[in-house]
Amino acid sequence: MKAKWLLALPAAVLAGGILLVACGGGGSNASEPHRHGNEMWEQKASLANMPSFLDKYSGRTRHLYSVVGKYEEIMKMVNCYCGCMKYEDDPHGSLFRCYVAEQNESGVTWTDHSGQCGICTEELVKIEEWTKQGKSHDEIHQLIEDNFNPNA
Amino acid sequence: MNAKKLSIFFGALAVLIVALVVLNNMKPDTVYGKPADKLFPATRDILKDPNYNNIMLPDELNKKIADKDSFFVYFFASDCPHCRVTTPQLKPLADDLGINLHQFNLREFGEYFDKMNIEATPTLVYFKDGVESERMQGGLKESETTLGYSLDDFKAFFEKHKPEGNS
Repeated sequence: MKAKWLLALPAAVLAGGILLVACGGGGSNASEPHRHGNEMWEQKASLANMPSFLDKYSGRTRHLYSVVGKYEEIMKMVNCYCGCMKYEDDPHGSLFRCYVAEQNESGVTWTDHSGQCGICTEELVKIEEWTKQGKSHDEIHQLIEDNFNPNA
Repeated sequence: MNAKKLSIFFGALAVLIVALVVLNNMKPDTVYGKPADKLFPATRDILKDPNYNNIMLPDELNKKIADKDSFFVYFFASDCPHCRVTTPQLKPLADDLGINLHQFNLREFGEYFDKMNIEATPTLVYFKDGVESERMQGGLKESETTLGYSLDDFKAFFEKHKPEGNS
């Protein structure tokens, strides 16, 4: 009988320890900024809802994130030449991926990748400029190749 | 009677777990002022890279600005592809020219993008008497068609400002 009680304390400590270790990472909430590899991700309802991590960046960067919804289509057509399309893990598929990591029925997941990326932001600056000049998607696609592809 | 043996087993296990938790919290800090497992993977990758041996922390930057020092800061991000191309050439150049090139990793201290108005990495900034006097935004040019600078452009920047102070 006594031995059973001897068992109880270490077992409780063990259970507590496992719980502590298991919960050590904290509950992750997709709508809070959270790490994903080398990027910070944050889920929002739509491209009209800006991620809170943008507070850390300059006005130019904040503006560019705010127009992603407007230029979504062309951004999915053009390559990004910052080097991200050559990543070994999870290479980016288009310029859009430099701003938005995931897009599905539950919303959009913003990434802060473009916050530091000169090429990613410069390409979008140009897309905005060329769109305002009335250029077509095909023309813009070609201009991105001519101006940003180092092997062009 | 088996329960006694079990209790010894569980007791040992519990002690082990407590020891692990304690050890886990005793990991030494890196040059970033936090343990390696709190850093981004790309930052962990460069911890032992000699091209990143002059890391500057926010407190040091703030102090130098407050003290009105004159100095060079290379704002980079450990995961930025252009920085990875640029640093291995820029750091040896700075060393050769006797430049104390402070390296500020914005991947770890992101709020300094806005504080220092950095729009992209890498950005090389010269502070004169604690105030920014000139910056070069962008890394080494990959080819004639792309944005960026040549190594000679960086050399000229270093040589221009070095006589004004290089602390």
